Amino acid sequence: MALQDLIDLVQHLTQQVTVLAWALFLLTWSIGWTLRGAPIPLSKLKRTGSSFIEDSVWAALWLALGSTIFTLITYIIKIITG
Amino acid sequence: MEQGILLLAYNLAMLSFFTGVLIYALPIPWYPLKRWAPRLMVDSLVAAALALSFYTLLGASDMIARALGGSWDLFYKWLKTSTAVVAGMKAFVITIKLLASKFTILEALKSQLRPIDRLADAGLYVIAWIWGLKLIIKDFGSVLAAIGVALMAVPFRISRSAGAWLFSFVLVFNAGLQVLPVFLSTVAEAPGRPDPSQLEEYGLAFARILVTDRAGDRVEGGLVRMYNPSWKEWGRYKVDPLGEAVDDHYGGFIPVPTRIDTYWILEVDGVYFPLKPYPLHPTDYTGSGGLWNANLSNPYLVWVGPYAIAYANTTITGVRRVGDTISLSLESEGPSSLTLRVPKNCNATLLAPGASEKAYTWYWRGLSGVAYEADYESPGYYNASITIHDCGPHSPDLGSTVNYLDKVGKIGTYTDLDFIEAFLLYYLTIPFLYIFILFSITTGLARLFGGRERLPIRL
Repeated sequence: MALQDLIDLVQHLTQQVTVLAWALFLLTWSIGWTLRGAPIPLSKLKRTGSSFIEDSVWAALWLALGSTIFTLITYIIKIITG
Repeated sequence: MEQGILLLAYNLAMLSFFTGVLIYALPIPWYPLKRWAPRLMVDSLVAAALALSFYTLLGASDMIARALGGSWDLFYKWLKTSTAVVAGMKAFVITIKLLASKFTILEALKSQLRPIDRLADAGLYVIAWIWGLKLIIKDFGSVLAAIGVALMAVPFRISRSAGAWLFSFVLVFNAGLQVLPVFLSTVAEAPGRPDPSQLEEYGLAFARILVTDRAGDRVEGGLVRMYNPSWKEWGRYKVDPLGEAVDDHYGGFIPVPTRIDTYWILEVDGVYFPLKPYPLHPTDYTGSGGLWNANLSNPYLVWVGPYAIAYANTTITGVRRVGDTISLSLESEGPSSLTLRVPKNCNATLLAPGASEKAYTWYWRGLSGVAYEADYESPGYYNASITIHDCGPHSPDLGSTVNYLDKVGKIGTYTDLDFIEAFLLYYLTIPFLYIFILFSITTGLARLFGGRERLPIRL
């Protein structure tokens, strides 16, 4: 396997992971609100829901920031290296 | 090449980062899994930062080397010189071993050279090792460092420690090797360079010593003794019928010191004649490459025949040989004498007009003979003639020769101690310690980049 093939494979994997991460964000965020809003008087469940929401929001933040920064850097590198 | 690897490293860092984010986003409240999220993100950011600042870091490594006074040029120079010195030392030992196959007495010196041989071997290993390090760092360093960064970027810390070590190794040794000559010259002193063609570096040369009389005729017998400036006898050699000093073991190759003046005395028929140049300075020798020549003579001696000598305590202005007769001209500024010493069975006469003559017997090393002495009471020019015939070969008991190598064995040990000490420090101990220090720094830096000691970044 040539080096470029390996790079392409990693890039492809990264794209899939990113898409999956966005999907999981939505899922987790939804589950979080579901658990938090569920009419079940269990504080542990509510805390888990809050934790899901918090984690998903952080994940969304890092996804957005990471995608932006990494893409920007890649763009700059491409400009520099031609 | 390394640019592609760095691109791979950057992409692997991205993969690690988004894998970390994905784990963050997982709706599974299981801490052992969740804790991988910030860990992966931090690792990926470090790896990405290293990939992006790769050339800056390598440049910084070079800059540190230059700031400390090192450079690759300096390192190459040191490496080439060191290789020449160590290889020269090894070649010197091989030369001595080859000479030992010709001159058996050198077997003793060969055994003394065994530690030096081992030192040369060890030195060669160290130099070869440093050559190898240079090849890795200078020629493949950037590729290796890029591979290190790529290994660090692999998700879940699978190869993070290995990558960090590789990257640190290149960074540290890139600077460290360039500074090696500076460090060595600060701590130790370079030893002298032995050259196989110059045994005199070890205070030793082999010389052909020709002994002649006043007229330039070869002295055909006797002993020559070599003294150091403190008048300790350093050598005693026989004079062969060709006038050359010979050693029982070396033949015509006489081991002589090359750094010290020597005084040579010819002993024949019980008389001692200082030989000129007196003293014999190392620059008086001709020849090179450890094989020298010297012509020693005495202006007051005339070799008449086999162990038959004539000598005066005044200037002999002319010598003429016609058949069995030798005519001598003397010039004296005061009372002087002309003596003829012949072995007992020689038929010899001394005619010295104007001189009072006397005769006495002499005994020297198993050889006995008669001495005819003509004494001149007033200054002036005198002629004398010597007739000699029926003077057969004689074999005085000259004993065994004493050669300078017996002495150089001891002297060499002392003079070589400095060399060995300098060699040990300069080519073995200090480089080994230095490389060990570099490996220690590498390990520390690797821990900082990717080992147990994490960078103090919290997300």
